[in-house]
Amino acid sequence: MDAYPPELVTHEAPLLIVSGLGSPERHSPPSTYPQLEQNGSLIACAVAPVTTPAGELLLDYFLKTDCSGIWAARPAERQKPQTPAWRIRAVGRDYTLPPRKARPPADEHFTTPLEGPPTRIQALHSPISPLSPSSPLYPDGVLTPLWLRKHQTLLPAAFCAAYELYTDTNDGPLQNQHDNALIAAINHQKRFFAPPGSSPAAISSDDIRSPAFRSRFVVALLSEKSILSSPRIDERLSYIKRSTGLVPGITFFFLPAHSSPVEVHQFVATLLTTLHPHAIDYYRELSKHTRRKRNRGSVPPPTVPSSRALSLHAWSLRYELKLGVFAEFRQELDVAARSYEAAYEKLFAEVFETTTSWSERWTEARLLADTLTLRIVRCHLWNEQYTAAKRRWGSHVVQMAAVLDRKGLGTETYGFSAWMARWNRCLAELLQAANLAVLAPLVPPARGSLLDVDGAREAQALYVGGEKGSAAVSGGGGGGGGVGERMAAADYLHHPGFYYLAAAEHLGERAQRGKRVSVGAKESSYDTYLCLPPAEEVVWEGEGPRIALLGLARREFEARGQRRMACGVVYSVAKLRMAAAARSGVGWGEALKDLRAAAGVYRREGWWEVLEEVLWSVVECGRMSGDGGSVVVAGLELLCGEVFRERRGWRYDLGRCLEGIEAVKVRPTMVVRGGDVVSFLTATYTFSTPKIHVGDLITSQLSITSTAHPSSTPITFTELKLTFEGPLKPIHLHHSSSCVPPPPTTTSRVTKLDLKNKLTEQHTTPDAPSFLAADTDLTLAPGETKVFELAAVLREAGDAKAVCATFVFVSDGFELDFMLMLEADEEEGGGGVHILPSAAARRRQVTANGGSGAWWIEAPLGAAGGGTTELRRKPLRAVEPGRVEILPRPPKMDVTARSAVVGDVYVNEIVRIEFGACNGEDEEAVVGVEVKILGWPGEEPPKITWLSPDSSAEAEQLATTAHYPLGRLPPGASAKRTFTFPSPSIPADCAIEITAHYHLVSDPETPISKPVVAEMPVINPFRTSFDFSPRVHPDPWPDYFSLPDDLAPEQPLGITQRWALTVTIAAQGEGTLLLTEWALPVHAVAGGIVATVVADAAAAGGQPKALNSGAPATLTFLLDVQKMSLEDRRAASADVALSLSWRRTDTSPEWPEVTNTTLLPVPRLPVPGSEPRVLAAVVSAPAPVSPSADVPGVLHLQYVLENPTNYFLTFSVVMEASEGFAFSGPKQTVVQVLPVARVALGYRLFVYRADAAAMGERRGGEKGVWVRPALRVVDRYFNKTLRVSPGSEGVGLDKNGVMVWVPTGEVEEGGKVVEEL
Amino acid sequence: MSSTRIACIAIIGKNNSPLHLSPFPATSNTLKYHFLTHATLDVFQARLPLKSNGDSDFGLLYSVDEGLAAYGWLTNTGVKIIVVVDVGGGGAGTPAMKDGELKPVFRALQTAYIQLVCNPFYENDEAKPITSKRFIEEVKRIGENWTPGFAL
Repeated sequence: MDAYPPELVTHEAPLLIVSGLGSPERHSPPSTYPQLEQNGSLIACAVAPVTTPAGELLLDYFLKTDCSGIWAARPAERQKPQTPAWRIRAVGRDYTLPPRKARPPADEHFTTPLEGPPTRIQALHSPISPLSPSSPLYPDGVLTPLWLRKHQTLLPAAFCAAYELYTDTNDGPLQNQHDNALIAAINHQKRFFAPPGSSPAAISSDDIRSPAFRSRFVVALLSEKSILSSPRIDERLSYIKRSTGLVPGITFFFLPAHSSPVEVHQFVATLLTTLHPHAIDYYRELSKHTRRKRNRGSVPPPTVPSSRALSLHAWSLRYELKLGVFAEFRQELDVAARSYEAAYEKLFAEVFETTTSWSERWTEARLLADTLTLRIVRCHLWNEQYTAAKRRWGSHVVQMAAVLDRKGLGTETYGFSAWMARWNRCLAELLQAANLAVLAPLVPPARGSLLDVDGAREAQALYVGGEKGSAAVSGGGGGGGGVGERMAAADYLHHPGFYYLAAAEHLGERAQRGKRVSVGAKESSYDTYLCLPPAEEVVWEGEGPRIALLGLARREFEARGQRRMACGVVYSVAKLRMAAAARSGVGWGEALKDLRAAAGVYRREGWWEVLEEVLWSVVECGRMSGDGGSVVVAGLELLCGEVFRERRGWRYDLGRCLEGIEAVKVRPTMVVRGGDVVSFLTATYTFSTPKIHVGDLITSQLSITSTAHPSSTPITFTELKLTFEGPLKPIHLHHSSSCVPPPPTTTSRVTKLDLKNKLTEQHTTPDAPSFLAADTDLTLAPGETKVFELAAVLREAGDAKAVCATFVFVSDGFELDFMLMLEADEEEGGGGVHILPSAAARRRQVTANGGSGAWWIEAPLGAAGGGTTELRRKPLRAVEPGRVEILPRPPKMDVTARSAVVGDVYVNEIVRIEFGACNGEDEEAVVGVEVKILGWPGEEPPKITWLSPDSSAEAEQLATTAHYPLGRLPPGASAKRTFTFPSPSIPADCAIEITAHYHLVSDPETPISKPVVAEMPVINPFRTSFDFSPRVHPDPWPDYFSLPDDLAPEQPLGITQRWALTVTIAAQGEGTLLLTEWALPVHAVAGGIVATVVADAAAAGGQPKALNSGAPATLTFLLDVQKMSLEDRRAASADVALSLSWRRTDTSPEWPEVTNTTLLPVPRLPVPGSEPRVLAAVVSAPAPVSPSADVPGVLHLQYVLENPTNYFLTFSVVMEASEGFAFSGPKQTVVQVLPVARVALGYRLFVYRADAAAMGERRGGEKGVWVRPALRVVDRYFNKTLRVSPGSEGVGLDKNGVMVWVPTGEVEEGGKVVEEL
Repeated sequence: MSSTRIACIAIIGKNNSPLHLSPFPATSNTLKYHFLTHATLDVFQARLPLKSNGDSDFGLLYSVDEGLAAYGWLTNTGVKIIVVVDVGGGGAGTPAMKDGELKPVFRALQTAYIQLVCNPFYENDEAKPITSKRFIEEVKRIGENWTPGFAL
């Protein structure tokens, strides 16, 4: 808006003149106005201005509120503004008010030859009226900015005179003298202004003799000293007020001494607020006055008659405009907008049609039209009519273009472009000045604030519009307004950045058009409205202003988060800088900086076409500015053929890209990361296997591919460095021209270079870490793929990863280190570069495991190939082919462990294990053995006994987990050792782990171990069941009537009872055990008995018994139990154990036979108390009761009735008949048993035949049948039935009573006999 | 007074890389539209968090220099379709577009894109521009034939 006279575009606000405050240098610059000095009303005053600190402070606060907050104070929702806006000017003590009327013109001005003698002066007008001959508007101008200046800076709505109360001394007369001077001065000044409340007629009169201005006159009085030090202040103040007729709080304001800044601010605010209603009235009066003049409907008489004069329409245009301005003073912007619209229409309808386009008036009219439109737009913005504002702004363009096309020089001129640029810029500036809340950049809410959620809901508004009623305020021209009108995209009011941008574009257009101007052209043939004449336009350089505009636009875009938009602007700026630099030779550096910033954005998002453009600019800038590094890097990027187009005529040769540039002074050395630039090189690194052991040879392939433009020169790297993470050494490949192979005969673009055996270990300095190096061919033609096959011996375990391939390129002009990351995630464009098509294609070729690695193999070409081979990609399974897991060196020691027994280990056994180690390493090893038993029951694991190998030395006992040194083992040698340990005494699930720890003699630092683990369940060797039953003691009972003579006190005297413990025993495990000895030691007895085991004839000297799980054996132990005392009838018990000596039958012959002894627990054996009992026993010998001869199949059964008591007992005995057998013996009898005596009853049983159902098989495979002889023995005295207990072998007991076993062989025989009979 | 027409159609990938861009007429300055459409991505980015209703239509993104207005559309796979409309000099006499008048254009473009993506041989990795002839023809047809109120 700077191009327009400031008065025309200023936002109006009521004017307050502050007089006599502050030093003169702080006063507002004086305004010029015609005839001001000669004809104006000078308000002179002799009192010195107030320059005390308090006065300066007051002036500060007055100036601070100058015009500030016009937009901030904009009435929201049509409410009263909070603080009134004022325009405040500070002036000195003397002030000149502008003249009302011009001086009468001197005669010579109007004496024209045609008009003859001077005419009479008809009326005097304002010095700026088109009617006054001295006016710049004379005779037919519409409006001069001077009129606006008059109201904006000269003619105040209020005049504030500041004075200071004299308080230097407390001398009364002196004070009075000063006060009187003050009063005189105030009264003098007051005369110039109409008193408050005077009739409005005073101002409406055009009479020059009414000197009073309607401006409100107020006095601000300051005091240096407070009322404490100057007690008469109150009195003096009232005196002054009285003498001047000022009203406190309305026209008289007193600022007490020592007021704080807040109080001063409040004082100013109060003063302004008090004056504001008057100011509104003041401008309303002026409006009324103007409206009256407009409504008169006639042109006022000129001062002197003239042939050219302003038409009536033009006069009413003047009045409308003035009405609008006064309304704007009152901040009634809707009213102002209507007046301005009316003025605008009249301007186009009248002035533009009647004015010639080359005249000054035409330019004035255009100025007026532009500024009017700006004011209208401002009014719409004020009223939040954004679409209306935008449309009004746009329609003016259409209007102007139409007028220019019709009457002016058209719209194809540079002048029109310049105007368009300015017009856009004006809108942007207007918007910036308005600082509309709806378009303001969003300030991100503070982190963690409660507004966070709400703040996120609101997007940055880039444009506003579409509000209700906007259509009604449509600009003139073709697009008639109407409700429900469609919204064009351009109708939305965008934020200033867009308009700055458009302005810059129009300026560019202007520059282009300006270049076409012919130098010698006449000025009048070009539209020079507010711009340079053609002669200067030709040489006008538009870059500077355009860069400035773009800078403004960029700031707006960036503030609103439009990074990409700003980036585009930055690129435009850079292009302009380049254009400027091309002429001036300076500024390439700034352009380069901008370009590099812009390139980053496009690179990241893959806008290759744009990036290409930017990079070419970088190359140009770099060449011109001497920044060789930028040229090289941009050249490197532009080589990438897959996204950039090939530029014709450009020599794609990286090595020579700096040739011929004189500006490059220093030989650039650069390090470029692959993730930061578009790379024409791709490198992949693949290990042949994902897992490998230390000491092995790892082969790997580095494949590098160039996607450079086909026309580019093959690139030759000096060096290629590979770095790894983990225990792999870096690999350096050097280019050597001697390694360049002859040109290939095939057309294949893939070359494989085998460097497996060429890598040698090198050091740069003796202390530096070593690396592997090889010489090879590092030339890469466009589109070529080179595969380097590398191999390295691994020394350390750990995870290794190929990290980076650095391509070193050294040429005469520069040195470049190009680092290409080999990791997959780096490659996928996580950094500054969008993914390239080739990378995306690589990513697609994934194996089932998700890896994308490939291994190049040489495969025969097939029949057509004639025996030659070609390279083929073989997919690798590894997910990360660039990573290898290096496992520790595998043990090559063969370790064996052999147990002496097959199958399970039994408890209480000596376990023998033979351990063997065979050194499979290539060198001698020092070996130690460690044995661990896992799952051992109990705390302490057993001691391991190592048998000496040559059986001469003594066995060595070691705790488990201790190392047993095996000594040195030469390669290929083996060693065997045997160790034993006792197995636990209770069953357990154990495992044995034998580990051979060793290290090679050459490498004692690396411990190697080889374990061997075996399960070792420990089980009980036997399965046993016990049967404890009474027997008939063969010996006679002690004599009741006699006592032995040598009665020892310890000798037992009780009755001896015989019991049999029958143990059924079988082997638990699979093998057969040989039972060599068995015994039943008695541990303890209870109940006053003596228990002795009667040696069993069969057992004692018996053969060893073979036991296996299928064939159980029976062991019978007879136990004689004797009470110590005959009288003792308590129940008793005996605790015995079963001691078994056994050995395995399945041990290998080379192992010595070992007899183990197992002590098996036996349940406690109960011995009931002394009660009468009946025992049934089978006797083999004919019973003495049986006189008959032997009958085959007859069984002799003897019942023994024992009476160990001291009573005489009578039993009735009944033998029940049975279908199964016949018997002989007493069928029913009464038996009398004496105390401590026994009676035997004999029966002979004859079993009829084998009952199939009863047939059974007894242990040992013997066939037979159980019969149940039922003998009922009842104590006659107690009437109690005695149970019959089995008393011998062959008699059993179950729930139904006693059973007797009859072997069947005899029965069958007997049966036959019966049948024969 | 020129009529409203489509000046450029751009398909932008999920990661903001251009998949396709055709200016109309085809001879006009492609680079200008590249800059223009690239800058519209700012608006997508700014408005995306507020789009919760699943509406694809981003409407007017902004208009530049009186003549061109960019309209946006976002598919639910994150692909952005941008149509730049030349409103013909921006004069007040140009018939303004109705709200949502471009929806059929966007729908037709999205259908064309879906057809393209449904082709199992199409490599949908957004790393290089679309080369499908059929798709380009379809975009061309839409771009050249459309006028306000015209059904595609």
